[in-house]
Amino acid sequence: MRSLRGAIGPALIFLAGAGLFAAAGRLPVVPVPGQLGPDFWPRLILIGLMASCVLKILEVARGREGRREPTALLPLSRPKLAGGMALVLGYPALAPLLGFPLTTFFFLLAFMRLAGMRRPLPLLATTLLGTVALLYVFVKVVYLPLPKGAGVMEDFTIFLYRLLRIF
Amino acid sequence: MWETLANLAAGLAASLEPLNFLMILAGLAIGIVAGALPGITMLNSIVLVLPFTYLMGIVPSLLLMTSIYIGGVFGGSITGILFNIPGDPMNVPTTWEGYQLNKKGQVRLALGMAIMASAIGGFLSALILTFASPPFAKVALTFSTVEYFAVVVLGLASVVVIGQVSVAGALMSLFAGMFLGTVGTEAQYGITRFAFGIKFLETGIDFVTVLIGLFAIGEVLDQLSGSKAGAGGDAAAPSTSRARLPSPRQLWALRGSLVRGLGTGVVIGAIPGAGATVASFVSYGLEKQVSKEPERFGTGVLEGLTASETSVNASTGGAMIPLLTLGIPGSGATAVMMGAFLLHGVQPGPLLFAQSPHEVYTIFVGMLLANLVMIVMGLLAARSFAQLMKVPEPILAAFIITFCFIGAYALRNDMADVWLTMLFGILGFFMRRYNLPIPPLILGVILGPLAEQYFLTSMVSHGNDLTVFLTRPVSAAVLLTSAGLLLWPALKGWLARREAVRV
Amino acid sequence: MSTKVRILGLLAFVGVISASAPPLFPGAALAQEKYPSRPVDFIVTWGTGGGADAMARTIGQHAQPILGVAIPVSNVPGASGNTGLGQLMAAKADGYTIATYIMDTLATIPMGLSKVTVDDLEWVTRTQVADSFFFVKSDSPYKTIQELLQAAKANPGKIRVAATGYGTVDDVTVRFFEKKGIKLTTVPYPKPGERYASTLGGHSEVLYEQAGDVLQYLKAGQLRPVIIFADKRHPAFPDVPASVELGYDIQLPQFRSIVAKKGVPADRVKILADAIRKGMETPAYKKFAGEWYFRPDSHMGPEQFGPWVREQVGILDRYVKEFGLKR
Repeated sequence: MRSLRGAIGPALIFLAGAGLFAAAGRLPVVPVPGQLGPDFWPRLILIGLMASCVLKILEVARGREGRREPTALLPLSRPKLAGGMALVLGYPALAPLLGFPLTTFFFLLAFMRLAGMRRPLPLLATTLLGTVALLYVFVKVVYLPLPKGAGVMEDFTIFLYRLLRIF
Repeated sequence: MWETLANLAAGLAASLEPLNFLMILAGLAIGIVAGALPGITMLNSIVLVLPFTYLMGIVPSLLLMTSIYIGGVFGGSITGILFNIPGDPMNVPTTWEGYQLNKKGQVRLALGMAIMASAIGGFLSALILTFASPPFAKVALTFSTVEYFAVVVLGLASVVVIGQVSVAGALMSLFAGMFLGTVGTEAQYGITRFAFGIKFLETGIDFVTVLIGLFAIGEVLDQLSGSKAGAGGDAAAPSTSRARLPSPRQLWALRGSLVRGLGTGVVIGAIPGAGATVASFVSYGLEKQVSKEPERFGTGVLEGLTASETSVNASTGGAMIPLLTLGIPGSGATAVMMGAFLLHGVQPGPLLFAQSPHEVYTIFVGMLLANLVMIVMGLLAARSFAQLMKVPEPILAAFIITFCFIGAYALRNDMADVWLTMLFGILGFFMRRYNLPIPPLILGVILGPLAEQYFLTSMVSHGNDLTVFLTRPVSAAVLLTSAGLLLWPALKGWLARREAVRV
Repeated sequence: MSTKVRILGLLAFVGVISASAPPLFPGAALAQEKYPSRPVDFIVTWGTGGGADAMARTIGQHAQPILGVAIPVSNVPGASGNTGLGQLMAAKADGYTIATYIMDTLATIPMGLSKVTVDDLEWVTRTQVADSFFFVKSDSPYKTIQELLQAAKANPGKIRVAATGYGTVDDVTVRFFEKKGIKLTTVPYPKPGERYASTLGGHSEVLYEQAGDVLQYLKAGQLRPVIIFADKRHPAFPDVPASVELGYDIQLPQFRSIVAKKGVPADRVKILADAIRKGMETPAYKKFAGEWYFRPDSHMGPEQFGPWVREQVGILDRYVKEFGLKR
């Protein structure tokens, strides 16, 4: 049965492709007479996608999947992975609320800790210096308007920038 | 001829003026560093530097930008070789061989070869730019969307055949990428496709978010979760990581790869849209096809690295041709340079050579010089970036993600791109786990929308007549090459079997 | 896990502190602030190297010393300018974010493709108005607009017009001719460079564009104008007939302008508008404007600009309904 597990992914993608194919038919458009509409190309691609899924399933069924590289079978630290993903998604979620400087500070701190940096002093120092250096280069020198945060946090970020002589 | 030489001499004098030369140095430094920082791209830096040129003259401005461009396309290979995170889609083939060489402990050779190949490719293409721009431009104008479409197909075909464990997997990845390319606002009708009311999908998916998400964030997550030893971990010890230039003999042995890389880079790289990326993949694919041991590709083969790296930098001269002679930018970097020209009241295009020969020839000489200076700067940069491999992995990983945040945000100052980058990072992790090849997906995202637009425009222009792709000679030739590329492995096997039977 | 708990605690702590003590950050609050006291972000709703980009960067450069703060430009292209406008709408209406707005974006309102209406914006200043033309390659067999239209009548759909896309101002003009029994084919090329290359290379017979954008090709003798879409001829092209003069009553001039989010205090709009006007009066800008063939009466301050825009939307709306273009 193990060999068929490799077919689940392609099968799911095939179904998604079919669903999107149907969705392409509901695109709002006034067609230009005699020309291909905006649904033509995506449908062509989705047919290709579904066909390649079928190919993949056939490949799996014929047992050629056995050539899997061993990397996929190496042990995996689930807590670290979950933490990493949470941080990677939390970063853009919080940045517009807390502002880039503060969020980056927390993110760097948490991520380095998660990745195995234990000693508090180097951890804090790296984070602080890193955040300030990034702010100088990207906000002060090249004027990148990184998120300042919402509400009172925007005031805080502007205050911080003034404190650091960035504004 | 004499006039050209006199102009070149004046250009040389001008580009050696202190401010101008300083701009070449600064540009190379900025380009190499931005390109080599995982998450930040050369395009980011060239856009962010544009305001600094407000106060300069046109010559130093353009020297700065072209040097960033030249340094940046090479810098993208450093991060690829060192961390398996290419700085630009066109650096992906270099990464395939370069990172493997790094893992084998030959990082000095990989970096050194990349530097030399870049410099040679860039220098020769700048020479072609200097002496052969007008005829090149004339040929370029005869190409229509029909030919552009054929070239895009060539790029798509080459990524499918290159070193995949499973062709079906590569095709799945490619079509998924091409589908992602259709998400968001469509260019011709202006309607939104497949956004399903999700705000950050409405603006479309920028390929840079896919690139840095899949490669940089995916790699970091992969290492963090410990599914394999880290980039720094399984690569050679840092003590050996200083770049070493190849000897003349080594270079001579690779002359075929250099010439092929140069040819594909200049010719295909001059095609607007995705010329440089296609050129890089095609040159790698070509190298594999002509190789006597194609099965060794992907394990750290110098020929593959040399050809793709040469073509990547050879595309810099090629991409400047339509900008300078026609006023038509064919890539992100040249579009920003177009902006710099306009800001200084100079219109690139047919009149540029007649009206501003001084500026044009200074840019030419500046590009030639920049490619020479890059050998030195490249060595220095490779040395200091190799030091990064000594930085503890937690610090490196955390900062890579922050750089990705900034790099993605800087695309349009939009959180949507940051979200996409992070989500593609998670997808990249799973693609690694399940052995789905990543490059086809990226090429699909880049080339898919171009293919759609070129195809539809060709159809509108030629009354929906499909045969136009085969009746126009250049298009027919390129499409046949693509078909050959797809069928060549099978054909080769068949020929070999026939040979065996005869003997 | 403990790390996470600690971080959440920290976040909560900072949240409480910041919520309870806003006066901690003096000078940051809106009311007490002298305007402008920090950089004004300028969103260019089109890509680098185009007309809107050139306008924004040129004006930004000249208005910068007048405002006394930096005006960093960021390009946010997409959806005919609507992507960038979305960002403008997401920012505060405090005058620290401004954006470009051009005719192509306005055309998306009657088409039903824009979420940002005329009432969502402060119309700060109209900076440029440029007339549109049909251009042909200089060695094109069509010497005059009449010859061109004759050929189109004889072979419906054979004359290809390089345009920005379907449902754009360019397309509306083509549809106008179709209503008059002259069928031309709109070929969409979203990027300006591709549009020019297609006409220069003979892959489309006609180019719809403003003169300034293709100035270099005009001067080099590679393109020539055959009709100007205006009520009278342009002094720089005295031999080129105007559309109205030939009985084709269509003129959709390109305009480029600077807008802010609705609700920016009136005094700040005035400060911005004044700085832009002064920037436009600098010799360097005037030279730029002359080279791009802008109408001499391009400048329009906040008082007149808003009503003018509403009028334009009305005109476009009529065409869109007439040609059945609404999505």
